[in-house]
Amino acid sequence: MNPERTLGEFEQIVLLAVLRLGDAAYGVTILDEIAAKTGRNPAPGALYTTLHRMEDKGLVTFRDGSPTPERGGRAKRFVAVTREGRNALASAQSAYRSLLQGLDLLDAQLFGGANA
Amino acid sequence: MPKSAISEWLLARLTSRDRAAAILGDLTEMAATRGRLWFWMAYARTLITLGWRAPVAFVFAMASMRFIFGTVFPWLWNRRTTHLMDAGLFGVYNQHIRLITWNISMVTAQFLCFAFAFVLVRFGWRNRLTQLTCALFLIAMPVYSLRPWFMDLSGVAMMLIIAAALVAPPWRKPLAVLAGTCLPAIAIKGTYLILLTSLTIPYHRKVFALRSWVNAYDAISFVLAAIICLYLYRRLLQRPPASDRTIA
Repeated sequence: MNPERTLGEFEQIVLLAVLRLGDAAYGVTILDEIAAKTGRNPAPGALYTTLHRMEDKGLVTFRDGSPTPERGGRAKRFVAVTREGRNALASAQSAYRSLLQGLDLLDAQLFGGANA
Repeated sequence: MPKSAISEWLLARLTSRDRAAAILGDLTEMAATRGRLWFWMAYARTLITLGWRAPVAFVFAMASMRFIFGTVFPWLWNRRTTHLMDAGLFGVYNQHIRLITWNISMVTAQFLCFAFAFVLVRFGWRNRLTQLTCALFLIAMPVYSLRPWFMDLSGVAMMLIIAAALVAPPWRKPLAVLAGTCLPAIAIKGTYLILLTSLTIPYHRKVFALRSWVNAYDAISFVLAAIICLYLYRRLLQRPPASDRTIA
């Protein structure tokens, strides 16, 4: 795989959150989604550096919304995952899946260790 | 809620203007439920997260140079040949040409040493600019052995790498950033060396001038190189903002 397209764990989390949010993905909603689904509260700065890095790699793209008063008259920057981003994410996830295969780790966690 | 042109301006120094506006907008929106203290704490942490790499990279680059010039180069120097004017890869040169090419090679190697340490910390190993700088840095190092044959081979290898980078589109912009980073600083250092050698003062005072001014000139050159590197990287290697794609 192209080394510039390999993804770190937080990059995968951010990409998954963006994909889940669809057209409503921007800084605030992404942070909320990550907090709701993972229980983590990442610092806003960490999210922005990750998003900017992925934008430079061509994994995500931005589009500007309209300025709103609750944002001090500043526009939202909505995030979308590019095809390259989807491919990189799918590749990373399939690597996780093949490593998990045969371990019954997720079953053990989901069903209270019945299959462990 | 806090709304400050200065805070947005400061953020824009560390990232692009549209990114800074969006970040401040997000923080302002979140601060509506979390309070003013949270806003300023999150703002300060964001500033640090976005900005820590450049100063740390500069300090690391200066420390690396001090280490290499204090340890590695003296080791090479002690193993140098005493026949600098010996035949090189292409035969025997005019002495003046040999000294000029030797000086240019040394100064270039010095700035590549700085540039490599700087871009390694600032942009990371996976970045093409870092990989290109590393390749040129490693190829430039043999010039400090002062062996004519090594120096010529190093020069030829550098020319080949530069030509290959010019031909291959993905490496062209990183090469432009590296050239823009090193050339002005090399020009400053070269001007200084020429001025120093043309001074009509006794030799011992020249040495004193060299010692007293070389650090200042080096510092100016390296600060300039770092600033130009960051500027050119943002202009040439970062993706342009998608500000023209506006949705309702």
